[in-house]
Amino acid sequence: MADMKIRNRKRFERQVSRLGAAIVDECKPVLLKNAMELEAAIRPDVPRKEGDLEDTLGTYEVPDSNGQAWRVIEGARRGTGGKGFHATFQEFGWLGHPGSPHFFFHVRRLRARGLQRIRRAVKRALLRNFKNGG
Amino acid sequence: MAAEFAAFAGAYQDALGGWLEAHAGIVSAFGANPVRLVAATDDRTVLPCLQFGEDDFRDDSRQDSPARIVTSRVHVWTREPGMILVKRIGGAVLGAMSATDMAGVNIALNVPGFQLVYGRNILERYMRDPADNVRHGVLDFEMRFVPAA
Repeated sequence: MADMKIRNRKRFERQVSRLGAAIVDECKPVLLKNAMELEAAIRPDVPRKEGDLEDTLGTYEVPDSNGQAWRVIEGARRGTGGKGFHATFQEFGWLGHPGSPHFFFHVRRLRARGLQRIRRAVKRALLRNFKNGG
Repeated sequence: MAAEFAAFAGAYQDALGGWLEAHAGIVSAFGANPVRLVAATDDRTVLPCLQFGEDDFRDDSRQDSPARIVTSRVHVWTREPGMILVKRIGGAVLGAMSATDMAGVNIALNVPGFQLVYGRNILERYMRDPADNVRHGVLDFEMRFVPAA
């Protein structure tokens, strides 16, 4: 097996130890952007006939995630009967009423773009981390 | 523009209906009831039934290789006190759409003039309907097609 020599090993080790935090910092705004973009895409398509469903659409940070996880939520939690309880029925339809697919359609449509953005952010973090000295 | 796909949507719907109706697993899951497919209308008064036709076609062409990604939704409607039949039929639909040959290539849906490159299930969900004892299953599939060589 060939030996590999690392020039300035101490510096390299410092850079590697910083890498995780650098990637997280670079990805945080991208994750928020992905979530906001999804919300913005869904909003014009929310069925308005029944009224209050659009008010329940929002982007929320997952508690204790330190900005690393975001949720786009529409409607009330299942079984609670709260505002926008009919979100699921609007999306999938109910007996005799065709659904108005407006949520998962955009999730699927934007997934590839969101993942690509995250990949780019990771690459950016890697380049920046190893370019900068120290 | 992918002119090769001008007639694809109609051919795809015909193939999907034929495949679901004839598949042995689905026939078996329906039990004593005949397999009932609802495509063009929203008449869901006779249950159990399968409803399809909500498809979304996206262009996925690369330079000289035209391709289409289809997202297809299949609804399962049953009338029962529990959720057993709806899940049995939903499982059969999933099995039919995931059928593979010996080499592991997906062979579901033979659309004349087109070749299925890959197919996968992206959503499987079962829920109660506001109507009495009506159960509703939703299965979404994503498939990529290219013109047959």
